[in-house]
Amino acid sequence: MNILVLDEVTEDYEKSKDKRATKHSAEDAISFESVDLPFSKIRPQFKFEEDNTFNESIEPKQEGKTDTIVGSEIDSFHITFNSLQKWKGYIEEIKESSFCARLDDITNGGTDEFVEIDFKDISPRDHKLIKLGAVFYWNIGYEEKRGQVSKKSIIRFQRVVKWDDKLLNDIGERTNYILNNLIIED
Amino acid sequence: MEYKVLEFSTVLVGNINPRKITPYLLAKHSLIPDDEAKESDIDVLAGNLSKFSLSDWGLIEATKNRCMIKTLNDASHEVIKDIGTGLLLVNQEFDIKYIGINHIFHYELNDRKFKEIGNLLAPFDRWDGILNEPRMLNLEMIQNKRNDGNKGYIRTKIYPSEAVKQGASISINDHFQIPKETSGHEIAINLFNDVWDDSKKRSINIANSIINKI
Repeated sequence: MNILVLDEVTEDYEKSKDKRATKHSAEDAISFESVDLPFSKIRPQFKFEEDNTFNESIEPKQEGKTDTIVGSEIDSFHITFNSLQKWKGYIEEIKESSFCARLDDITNGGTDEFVEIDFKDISPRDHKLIKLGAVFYWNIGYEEKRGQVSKKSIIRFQRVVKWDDKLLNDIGERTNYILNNLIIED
Repeated sequence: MEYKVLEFSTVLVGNINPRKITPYLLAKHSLIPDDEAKESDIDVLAGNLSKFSLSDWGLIEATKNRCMIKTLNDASHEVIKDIGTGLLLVNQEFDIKYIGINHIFHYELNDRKFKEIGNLLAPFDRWDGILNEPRMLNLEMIQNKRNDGNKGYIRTKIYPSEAVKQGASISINDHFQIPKETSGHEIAINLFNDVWDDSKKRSINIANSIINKI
């Protein structure tokens, strides 16, 4: 598949959306409906550069083979997780091999709880996010993976936007625009 | 009765650039880990359509006027809010007109119980002389006016589940309309943070109230 074919697919997709739009109100645009859409499975190919950024290109996974999205896409996930207990945690102290955190009980509310968590309980990819004030989500619940049920504890750190110069400039410009156009009534 | 699967999604409707919603850009802006971007399963990345899955937890689909972030993983509920907020922060040009926060609860419910709930919500005897052996297939109810001060509505649907065999789904669409005279962008970011948790609590209450009737 090449880009031309992908564009055709996109065009068909947009047309099918337009058809739906004629049948429903604008509010109905918010729905879970999937549109039958032929496409080739493609996977991203990433290449890390020396400056720690990486570039992305797209290549067909299987040339010529097409799949179709039909109905619910739930099967494509294969894994579901239902939480029994949820906390939002805030790191308040970092020790040599653990950190202490205040927990906000999202499930039941009530007073704050405090906990000490070993670094080994955190995914290696999140270690760099362990900092004072960092926020994490802690879920205990049941995971069902292809029919197999297991009880799991999942800690995932909150990821927020990296504030680079461009983003700060964009927000600065937008703020100035709003300030300049602000009308204060007597 | 406990639900078997909770499907959760948020939908942003407005002027959106799908080219700005890719695994690479999510990782670049620190919204997902680099390895999750590398392992993402891309269905389509083209001019007017971006569609990909992240590990086993999420699906993102964006067109020129709609972006949906979806998960079946309750542990990712807050992650979706962070990604939605982050996308709006880094894409100041997106102009959002509507936000949908959607919960679909899938229950294991045999045929007899689905019929029972149908009879409770849309009594079959009202169909005497109109249909023989009537059954409820889909039922949709709407609360046209929100009572949280926001514009929009709450829509609830009940229908046979596509996720659970012999199941029923209760879908709650928490719909927010961004006031026209305001900047959709900023209101959308604030809305995400203000209504997120309440939306889930309200949806659970609605679903429980319906399913506990049987």
